[in-house]
Parts: sequence; C-alpha cells; structure tokens
Amino acid sequence: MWDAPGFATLSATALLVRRVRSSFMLPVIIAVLVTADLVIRQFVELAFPRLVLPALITLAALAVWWIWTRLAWRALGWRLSDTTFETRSGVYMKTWKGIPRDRVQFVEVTSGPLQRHYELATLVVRTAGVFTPAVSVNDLVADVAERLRAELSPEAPGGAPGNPAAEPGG
Amino acid sequence: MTEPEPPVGDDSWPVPQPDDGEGWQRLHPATIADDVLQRLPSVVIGLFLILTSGERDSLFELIQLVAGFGALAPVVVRYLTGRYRVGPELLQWRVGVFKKVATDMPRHRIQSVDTRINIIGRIFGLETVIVSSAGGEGEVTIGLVVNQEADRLRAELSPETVRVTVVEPVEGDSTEVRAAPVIPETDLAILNASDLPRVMLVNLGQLMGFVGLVTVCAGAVIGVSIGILRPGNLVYFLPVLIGVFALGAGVATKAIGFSSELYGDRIRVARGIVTRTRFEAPLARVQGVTIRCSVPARWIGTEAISVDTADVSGTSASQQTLVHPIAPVGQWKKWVPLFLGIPVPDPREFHRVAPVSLRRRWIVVGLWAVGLWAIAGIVAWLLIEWIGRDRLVIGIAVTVGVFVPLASGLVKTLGYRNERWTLGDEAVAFRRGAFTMSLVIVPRVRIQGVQIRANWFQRRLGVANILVDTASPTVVGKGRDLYLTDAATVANGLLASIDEGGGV
Repeated sequence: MWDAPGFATLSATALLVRRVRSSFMLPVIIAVLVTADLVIRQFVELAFPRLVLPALITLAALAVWWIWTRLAWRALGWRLSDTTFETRSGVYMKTWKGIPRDRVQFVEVTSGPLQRHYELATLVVRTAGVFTPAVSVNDLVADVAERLRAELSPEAPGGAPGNPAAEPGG
Repeated sequence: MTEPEPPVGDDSWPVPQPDDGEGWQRLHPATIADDVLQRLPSVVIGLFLILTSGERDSLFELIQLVAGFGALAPVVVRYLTGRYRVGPELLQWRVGVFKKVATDMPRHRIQSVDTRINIIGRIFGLETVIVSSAGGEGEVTIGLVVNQEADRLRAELSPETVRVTVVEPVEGDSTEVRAAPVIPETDLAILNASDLPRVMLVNLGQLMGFVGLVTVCAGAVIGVSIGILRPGNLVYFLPVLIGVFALGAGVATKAIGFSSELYGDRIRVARGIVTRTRFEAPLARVQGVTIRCSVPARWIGTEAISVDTADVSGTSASQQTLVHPIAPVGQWKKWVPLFLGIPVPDPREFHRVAPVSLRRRWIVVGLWAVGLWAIAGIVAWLLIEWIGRDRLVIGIAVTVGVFVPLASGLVKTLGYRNERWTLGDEAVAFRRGAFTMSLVIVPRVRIQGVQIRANWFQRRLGVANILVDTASPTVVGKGRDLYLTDAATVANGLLASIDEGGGV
C-alpha cells in the first residue's frame, strides 16, 4: 500500500514550508523551558549552570524535529488513476486513503500566506463519506493543485491514466 | 428587443426563490407551548429572575429583568420567525432573529421525512416534521404543523424514485437514486405489550449502562469498606435501581408501539407511545444493513436489524431506522436481499483476521493492564497513607479489578475470535464484537472511500486496520488486524468495481 509504485511525492519547497510553519512554535517551547529552569532553581539546587539544561533539551528537540519533518515529508504522497485518487501519509502510524473518482463531491484548493509566497497550495477532495469526508494533500505546487482540482472536479471528464499532474522533480 | 436570458443554474442546485415571495407557511401557535417544554430550565430561570426583580436597586433590577426576558425570548423566537415553503425544487426554511438560519434544501436530495408527535402535539393535533438530507444541507426540523399539513408534507417531500429521476443527475452527483424493485406490502415487525419483557432483556446492557452500574457498585463497595455504609444501608441504593428501571420504562414506551413495514419501494417505521415517531425512506436510499446481537439477545434467540440511510442527523440514526429490535435469529438472511437488492454474504466465505495479531493484542493489552495496575497501586497507596483506613484497600482493589481489565482492552480482546470479513461480488461485510456482536453489510455501490492504517508494530507483523466508509454515520465497515495483503485486496477490489453515480 505505502510502498506501491506511482505515488508522487512533494517538492523540496514543501519541506521548507513545513519546517518554517512548525518552527513558529520554537520560541514558545524555548520560553517554557527557560521559565521552567528558572522556577525549578528556586526550589532545587541543580548541578548544571543556568540555561544549560534548556539549551540541551532544545538542541535535542531540534534534531528530532529536523529528522521527523523530513520523514513525514517523505511519507506523504498521492496517486491519481483512471478510477481512484489515493494518498499516503504518516511516519509511525501510516495511513492510506483511497476514494473513487466518481464519488468526489467537490474539490477545494486553499493556500495561506506562507504557501502563496512559495507558490504552494493545499488540495482537499471531499466525498459524501462520514468517516473519510475529505482527502487532503498539503503543500502541493500551486499549479499541480489547480490541475488536480480540474481533473478531479465532478463535472470534469475522466483524466488520463497515471499521474498527469505530477510535480516536477517530486 | 431581445428577451433577457434566463439565469443559468446548476441542475443539482436549484436557484432559491426570494424570501419575500409567496407561499410561506407559519408554524402553529402551540409551538410556543412546545418550546416552553423543550426549554423548561431556561423558562424557569427567566421567570424566577423576572418575578424576583423588585427586591434590589434599580440598576440591578434592570439587569435582572433583561436577563430574565433574555432567557424567555428563545421560547417565542421559533414561532414568531419560523416559516417554510415547499417549492417545486426546494424546501426552504427560515428561523431566527440574531442568528438567522436560512436553509434551502433541494428536494431531490432529501433522504427521509420523519414525523414526531409529543404530548403537546397530541393535545393540539400537531406533528413535528423532520426532513433530512445527505451532505452539508443536514436536517430541517419544521415544528409544529397540523396533522393534515404534516401528512401533506410527508407525501410531498418523501423522496420517490419516479419524481427524483425527473431531475437529471449530474455525473458524479450524490443525488442519484437507483430504481428499486417494487416489493409487495410486507409487515416486518409489530410489537405489543407481550414483547416487552424480551425488548427490555435485550436492552439490558443499554439500560444498566456501564458507567452507572460500575459507579454504583464501586460506590457501595467503597462505602462499606471505609465504614461510611453498613450492609443494611445498601437499601439507599434502591432509588438508583428504580432510576435504572425508569430507563427501562423509557425503552418500553418505544417498544410497545413499534411497527415497521415495507410499502412498495420504501420502508416505514413507527415507534413510541408518548412521543410517536414515524420514519419513512425509500429502499433505494439505504446505505447498508447492521445486525446486532447482545448476550441477552443470544439467550432468547433474537437479533436487532437496522437499515441506515445517508441521514446525517447524528448517531440516533441507527435508532431511527431500527426495523426489528427482536427479530428471530437468521431473519436478516431473508431481509437483506429485500433491503439491499443483493444476495446474502455466505457465512462460509467469512475470513478470520490475522492469527498473529492475537498474540500482539494480548501482549499490548497485557502491558497496558500492568501499567494501569501499577498506577492504580500507587494512587491506592497514597490514599491509604492519607486516609489511613485499611478497609479502603478492599474497595480500591475491587474498583481497580473491574476498571483495569476494561480500560486496558483485556475484555475487548475477547472478541477477537468473532472478527471476520468477507468481500463478495456485490457487498463487503464485517463482523465483530465480544459481548454485543455486530454484522455490517455494505453494498459495493454505496462505498465512498476506503482507509487503511497501520502503526509500526502492525507493519512489522504485516497487519493493518481497514475502514470502509459510506454516506451514513452508522454504516461503516471496520476490520482490525487484517493481513496487509488482505486489506489491500479488499481496498483494490472495492475501488475497482465502483459504478458511476454518487452512491448516496
């Protein structure tokens, strides 16, 4: 399922955007760690000099985050065939979703400021399903997202086999 | 002079008529009495605030009056602002002052029309009409209209194959209705007072309720253990038991008047004594069939059979479409072809899930149980140290002995042997459950999507969970720990054979 051939992956820009987006939490985490360090020192005598422990934890978390975002980026993929649209995702918990193309109710393409700056977009393919009401692919190249939207929209005739809208270098 | 071009509209989404046009119908004034009953707590608070407003200074009195009338205001809003109109293509519903709700529901997307009669309705001869559709339109509750108007609305709005097919479906539109074979009128279930003991027995689990039962038992044991209660005091728990019995009476009121029938190409269900509900939907809208069999039901040889439409009104949908709460065992094999128009899955073709997963499950839930018991032990030790009551040990031990096996999944894992799946030419079916066993049959044409998930441990063992989705909140095929190759076969098989149309 997850290793099947023909899955298109995301561009390198998508990885950059994901890292930038998730790094917004970094100052908050550092602030929490520094505060915790200061508060704990009011009650306990620690062997480490001040701020060393938060710095070490932050560095370790950064390393894990750097690797994890890359693994998550590599795990993401999508595949379009004559009859189905499939996505795969996840590092620890891998998920594969498949929806028949003629069950598509409508298709959305959305993009935030950061995505627009890097010419990326999010594709959301909606069905009438209750538990899998939408299949989405984040941070697609905007042109590819638009082409997929046109291909998958219910009024569009069936697309060509394979991944005609695959990302360049994806 | 050329005539202006008519507005171009989507065939699947008719253009709504303006709100100031003709044909709008108001609700009956008894709606106010109905809302008073439905909003009794806020009415009581509002009246209390108004009646006690003269006891303080003027500013506080003003605030109290405003709050009081504010609490009462919603009672009249539905009557004063609620109006509906049934057009040739749309059902329109408007209500609200500050938060205005304007719903335009295309008639060809209506899934079911449901009517309810409560105590106010019985006094004034009124019914509440609930119209449900698939997708984002959701549900429109038109309450209260006179009986004749309710009958007219039900007759006019009920989805009919003939009328619906007049609207040309867009390719891939969710509104397509497949023509169902016309079936002669058939009574499915008619329950009366003599069926009451069986219905109550079957619903025993639901009546007692896991939380209520465990809480009461644990409370009694702890109370006796720490000396707050003497065994003789257990008589005080009688009100709880009476409350549970009252819940049973609630089930009884629904059971006694229960009837279901096949009428032409549609299914009709009526239930309830105090609040009478009538549900009607065409068979062509049925998304799947669910058969449930609890432990008491197995004792007396019955099973509950329900059909589900793409009604998105929530989890109560399964109750709405229960066609027989105490059908004889095996009855579903006769009814599934009637409801779904497909042959019954052959029980011999059901596959068991991956045997390797049982060991994994026992290991995982065993670890969970050990962890939970360890945590519970620490908490118990702290409590004993704090309270200093030795007998607390007994109460905590009993509580932990009950909770941990349930919370860790030890009990759930007992249902492993019942987990089976089959993929037929026209349907996929999943069976599961430890105490209450369920069988879900989903026709292939109703499938909206398939999801396969596996964590790292599952992938190491080559197993995965599968979810087969439909447009009904209560019809979902779930299989745990299928071999990954089997899951892929099911997914590919289902997705490869989807016919055209929306499947709703």
